[in-house]
Amino acid sequence: MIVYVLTEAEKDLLVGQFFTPNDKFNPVLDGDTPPDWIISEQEVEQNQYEEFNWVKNLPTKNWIPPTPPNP
Amino acid sequence: MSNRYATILALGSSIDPDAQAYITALTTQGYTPTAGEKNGINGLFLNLKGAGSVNSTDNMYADLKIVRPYFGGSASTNGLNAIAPTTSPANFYGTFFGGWVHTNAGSDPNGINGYMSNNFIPSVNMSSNTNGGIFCNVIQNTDVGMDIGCQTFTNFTGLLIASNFFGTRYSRALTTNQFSVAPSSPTNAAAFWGSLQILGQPYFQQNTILTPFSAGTSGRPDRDLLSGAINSNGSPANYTNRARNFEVVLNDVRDTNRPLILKQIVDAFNTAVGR
Repeated sequence: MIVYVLTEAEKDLLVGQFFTPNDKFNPVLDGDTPPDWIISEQEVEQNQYEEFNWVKNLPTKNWIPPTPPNP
Repeated sequence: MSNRYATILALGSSIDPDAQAYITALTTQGYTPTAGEKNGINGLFLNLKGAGSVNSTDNMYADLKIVRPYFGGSASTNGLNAIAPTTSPANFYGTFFGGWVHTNAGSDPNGINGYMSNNFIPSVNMSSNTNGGIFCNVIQNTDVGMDIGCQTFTNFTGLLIASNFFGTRYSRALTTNQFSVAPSSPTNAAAFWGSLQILGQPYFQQNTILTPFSAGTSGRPDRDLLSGAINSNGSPANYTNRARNFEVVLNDVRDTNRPLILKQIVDAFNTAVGR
């Protein structure tokens, strides 16, 4: 699965921002070493707002899942 | 349902006012239900009120906190709480984060970073002296993450549902330090519901009357209930990729029949709207 890689500064631009009227970006750290901030294909493809069109030009990588914590 | 009310509905001259409010909200948010879907929505509300074709006895409406049919095909429609259909967080309108695909069949999180905030904090929004429950009708049999839940600590102090998590399916009560482990062979959603019902563990702790607990040590966590992941002491974790088409948060499960009835109501609605 492809994900889009963010810098720390780019991550800060997206946190809390809507990409549709009721969807917000959710940058998360992947399981790489060191971890990268990433967003998903869905966020990039579904973005409706011109101010965030730059996410389409972000570099991509294969998703490396982090180790989930036990519940 | 009274004969008079049934007759009125049969004549097509009336619709349950709460059903109409949900239909109007769907339209406002961009989806206009067909005539058949309106009938399905009306049937859903009548059944929840104990006045429908599937449920004519148990009026559970006052015990409902969230009824989320994930219907309409967008985040704006699928986030609606059908029984309080506004876009206000105070009415538990769901806000989606990260990667989801929304259709009329339901909403599908990506298992990477997709979750939904229910804007619902059990310690605030659930009664302390009733036996609450959460229901999640998953429609995909995958093996990643938590379906819905929140917890304050990392030792299962909270409520959660996972259809299949590290090979084990969990349901957990809205009570303290008790949880139920479902059978180990995951199946589809319907069979999962059925197996839990057979075991008498349909997604919640039965026959337990809760007493007030202090937030942080109780089964009523002081954290927002998340769908598509679990709120792990303030942060989303264990993202799932299981699509779902219905969730219910109930303030009082009341007895063992209610979850069976609720499952029938959900199935009837899904059939009526063609999914």
